[in-house]
Amino acid sequence: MVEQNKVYLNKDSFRNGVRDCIPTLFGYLSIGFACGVVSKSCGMTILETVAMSIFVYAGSSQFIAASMILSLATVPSVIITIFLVNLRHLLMSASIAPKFKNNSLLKNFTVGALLTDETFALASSKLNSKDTIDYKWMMGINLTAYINWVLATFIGAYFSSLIYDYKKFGLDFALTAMFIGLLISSVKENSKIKRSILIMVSSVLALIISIKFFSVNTGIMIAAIFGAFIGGITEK
Amino acid sequence: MNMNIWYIILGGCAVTLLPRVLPVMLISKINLNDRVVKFLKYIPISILTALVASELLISNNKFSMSNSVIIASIITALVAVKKNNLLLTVIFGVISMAVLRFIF
Repeated sequence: MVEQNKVYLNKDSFRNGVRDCIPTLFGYLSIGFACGVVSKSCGMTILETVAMSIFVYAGSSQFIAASMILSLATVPSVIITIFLVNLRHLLMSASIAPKFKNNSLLKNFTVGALLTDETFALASSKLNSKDTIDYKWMMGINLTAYINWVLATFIGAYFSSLIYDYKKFGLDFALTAMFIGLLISSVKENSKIKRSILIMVSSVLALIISIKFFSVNTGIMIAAIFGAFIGGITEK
Repeated sequence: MNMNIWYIILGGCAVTLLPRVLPVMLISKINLNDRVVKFLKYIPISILTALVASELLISNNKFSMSNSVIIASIITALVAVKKNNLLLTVIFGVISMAVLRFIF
């Protein structure tokens, strides 16, 4: 009886992960669609576009890679750019690591391999309320987001010849709106509102100053480290 | 067939996979210093702020703002504060952006 109950709970937790991921699907569906259209119009085939989504799986990197491929950039320069654009995942992966202490190396490999901005944000909204994150729940959100992205870029590449003014319908704002929603829920869960505001102000200032010297993606890394550092030192 | 694209996909796979998997595989196995734990705890709020700010305040690596984006963001933020519902927040954001583009 107890065993059965356990199995049921585990299944439920994968399903909960899928369900918790649903609010983010809409935003990434439109961005993925746009990414497919752009990749195709930069001269990539449908197969190459989908392979890029499956193996690289990184929205902003894929947009930039497509435009660099169009401008005939060298292979190493495109790979280095992808590395720098995606390097923020190093911080995200480190940030969630303490909550996956009890898992095997192989399990944590699968947690990290499909980590994105959205699944990280969803996982960290669970961080404050729980000591550990359920592996199956994490795989539920990770796999749902992954399949959604691969499908969206495929549809975009497939229908790229159709002129579709997605900006007119405000769909390009979906991703920003999602980040705003995720940011506000992470502020809400943090009990010290003053410290949250301090971190946010520090992060924005660091970003504005650092883009004078570096690219936006490097600026995001610097801002994230600086903001978290300020948060860390002001906590006794 | 353009082999270069396949080399980019292969290399891109390696350079995106390693930063994603190494920290969660290795850091989860060691006991961290208190200071580091506190620092990591504030990464989500700090990185999400940076991502939102980069969408709202920066275009082409320069500081710039658009009225309709700022207004749509304020509406989105209000919905997020009032209702704890991500899907509703995204839908309101998209609709307000579409309406603002229609007006301006």
